[in-house]
Amino acid sequence: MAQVWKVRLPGGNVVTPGEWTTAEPLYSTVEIAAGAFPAIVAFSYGRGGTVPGSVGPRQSTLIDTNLDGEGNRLPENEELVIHTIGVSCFKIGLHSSANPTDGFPDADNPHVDLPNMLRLQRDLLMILSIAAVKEYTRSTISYWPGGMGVSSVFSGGVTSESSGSTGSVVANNGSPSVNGRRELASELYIAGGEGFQLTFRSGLGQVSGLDLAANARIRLRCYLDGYRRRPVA
Amino acid sequence: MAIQKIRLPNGQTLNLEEWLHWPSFSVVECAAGSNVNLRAFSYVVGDRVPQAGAVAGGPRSATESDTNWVTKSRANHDEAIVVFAITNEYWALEADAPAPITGAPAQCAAVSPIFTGTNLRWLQLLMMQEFFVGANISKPMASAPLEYYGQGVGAVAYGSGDPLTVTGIGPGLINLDYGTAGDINPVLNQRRWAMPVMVASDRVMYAKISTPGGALTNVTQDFRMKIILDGVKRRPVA
Repeated sequence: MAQVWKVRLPGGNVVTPGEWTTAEPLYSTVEIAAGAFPAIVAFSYGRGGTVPGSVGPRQSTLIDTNLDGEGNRLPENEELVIHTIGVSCFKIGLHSSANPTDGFPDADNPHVDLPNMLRLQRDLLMILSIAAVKEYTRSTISYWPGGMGVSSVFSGGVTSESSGSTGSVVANNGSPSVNGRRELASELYIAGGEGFQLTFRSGLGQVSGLDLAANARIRLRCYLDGYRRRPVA
Repeated sequence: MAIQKIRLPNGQTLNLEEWLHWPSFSVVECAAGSNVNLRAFSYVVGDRVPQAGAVAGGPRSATESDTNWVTKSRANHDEAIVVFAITNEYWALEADAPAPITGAPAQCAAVSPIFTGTNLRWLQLLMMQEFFVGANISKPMASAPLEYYGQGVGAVAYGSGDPLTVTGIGPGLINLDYGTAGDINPVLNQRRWAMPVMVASDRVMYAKISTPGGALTNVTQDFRMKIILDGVKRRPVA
């Protein structure tokens, strides 16, 4: 049960975590469709804003994000020291029946099937920018395992999506366990009121071959986890 | 190695003479398709178990297996806890019955108490788990989607790779789908807070389980969920 009394930031500042918590990660959700998409930015909206990439678009709730305010910046009375970043993936909707990519059986929602997960890990870049212009990470999402999900056991399992005619293979973005999350060697600090963005894009302009129907989406929930100073009452 | 002192984020130091490692737990029950807004640790043995929707089995009184919490929504006046982690367990209250595959031969993915991994993934997508300390306090001490919390307790299973034929209960053929929130491991799969949360004596506290985005429409089993606050507890001094 390790405990933290002081946090020394890369810049030399020392933070004493009195009003801080490590039990409330900052998170935001975006959705990816098949086909070309522009850059999709997580944390670009506050709670109640619309979820980028979603069908409709969909209005966000607490389950989508816990960022308050207008988005694209941390509220003035909060601070964040990021120790880990994770991306969790869900599938909402079906494979494309009109243009199937490979005919691989679909997985029951909200599981993501293995071929689509591999395509996402191959093509989808995640870029964290703090203070708008400076990039702090740039790598594909496979480098940022969610560290959460379900360890599944199947025994001759068939899918509901296929009306019981076939099984499928489901996949997580990395290990589903807490210790499967990547920890940053040096923390990233976001000051209160400072702008930041977490952008998803693909070098090809799309996730090549992503097998989804027109109204189906891959939902990415992105966690910035570490020490967070919240508003003092 | 035993812990002798705990330093809290506000600088307070606790000496652990009267303390012991003690998980505090409380269950809630939810129906498939229900909107959930429940408070665990809000009842004691003999009270009604909090339920969302019309749960299989109906309303029931809590037993010692449902909770070891001894006061409703607060810490007992001569006890206190320091919470280092929250973890969960899940049990189905009915067989899974996905509509497209209920024809002959009847098939399902699990029977009670096996909760399917697909249903668990839906909970991870839709459900929030929060921990509040203090009366009329809207700032949670812990708050995250359910998937954020690992599962350090539960059963590890190994499938044979073949459909399972059962007799006498529910559908006859089980194409098993069982899942846990990560690999069952209390050391490696409970997200342990670097800064623990203290619930002092007599303080109001509860764990809130909710679905802010709407109902659990795609979940196909009623289920019981145990919320475990893992840490140390100061026992009453005789």
